[in-house]
Amino acid sequence: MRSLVPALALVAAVLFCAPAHADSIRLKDGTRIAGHATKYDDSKSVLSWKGDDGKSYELKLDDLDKRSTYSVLKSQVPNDNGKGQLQLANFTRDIELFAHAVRHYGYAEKADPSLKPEVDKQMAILRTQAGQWGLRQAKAAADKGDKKRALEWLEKIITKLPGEPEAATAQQLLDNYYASVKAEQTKEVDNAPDEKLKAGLAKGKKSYDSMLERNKKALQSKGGSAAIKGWEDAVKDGQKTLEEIDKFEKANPEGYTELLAGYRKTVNDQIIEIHMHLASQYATRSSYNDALSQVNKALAIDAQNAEALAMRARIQDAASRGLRWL
Amino acid sequence: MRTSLLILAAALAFAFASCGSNCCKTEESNVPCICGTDEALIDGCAHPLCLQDKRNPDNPDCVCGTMTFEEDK
Repeated sequence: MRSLVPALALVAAVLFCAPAHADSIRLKDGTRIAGHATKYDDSKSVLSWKGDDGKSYELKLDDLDKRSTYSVLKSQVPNDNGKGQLQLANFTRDIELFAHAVRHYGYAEKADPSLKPEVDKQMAILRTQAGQWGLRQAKAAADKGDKKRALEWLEKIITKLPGEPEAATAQQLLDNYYASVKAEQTKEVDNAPDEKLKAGLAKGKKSYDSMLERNKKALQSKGGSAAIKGWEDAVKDGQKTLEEIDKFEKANPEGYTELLAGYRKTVNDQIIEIHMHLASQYATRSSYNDALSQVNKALAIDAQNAEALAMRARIQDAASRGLRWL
Repeated sequence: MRTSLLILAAALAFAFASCGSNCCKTEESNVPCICGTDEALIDGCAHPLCLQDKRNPDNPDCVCGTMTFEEDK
């Protein structure tokens, strides 16, 4: 029995680390085949695949869906093959895997710095395509009546692609959604259950409205320092709002706890959103330290905020590997 | 018995250390794999495996990492 203990521990070690699922490949018609690749014949563009069903498949690249094709091609191009990475980046961009494409452009430039002018040219095409794609997402969301989602896409285009014509279009469209989405978020305050609360939070509401207005103006500005200043002032307005809520609670310790917690969350969510806009703005300029500082401010408010945690990881990755940012 | 327990503890320590980003709990390891979503196309995925250019085996829509060939295994 005693000798079994370490053996069991080692079995546990293997189980902990084993991948949960096998690989899979998807065909153009949507069929997914679980299994693993055995060979790729570059001259014939044929992938040999051993299915978990025990069958062997010879799959032409043309018969695979685009993302599976990408997986195959990626496995054939080492990161230090500049020209190969450039071609792969263009393919990846054209199948709308924009973020993946940006990584490949980064690898291409790192492997062969002489490719920089071509990478810049192709990245400009990528930014246009990504902007157009984002606008389509916003329109699709709006067509479904999902104004919040439409607004999220517009904000994404504006903050990720400053200076692009698509960002200018997004700025113009912002007015269609911004007021109604934000009004929905603050309807609890607007419909406050009693006059005491309404009067007590009037100053805070004013600061909150100012924060929203400054955020909108920053989103609709030409970007750069004007946008940054606008967002920084918006955060200050948000902090003033929180102070007013605290003040009210101190004066009225009974009966409002839950309601005020909800108000605080609404304000904090908006402040986090603005910190994320700032982080995105800095990251597009490759000012990764400033971007990280903004993300950390967001995480100081909500340590588990998934968007901020993801953004921090992406910034750290781009900064440490010297990769481009989209 | 004490020796066995020591070996067990050492083996478990080895197990967790060798798992790498698959199971070690850091804040970043809580970042979900969003591959396959619209956001991932433009933002990229910040799942620890994806950032390491590895495929997340738990997400069938993950296109990070390179395909592994049998002879590579």
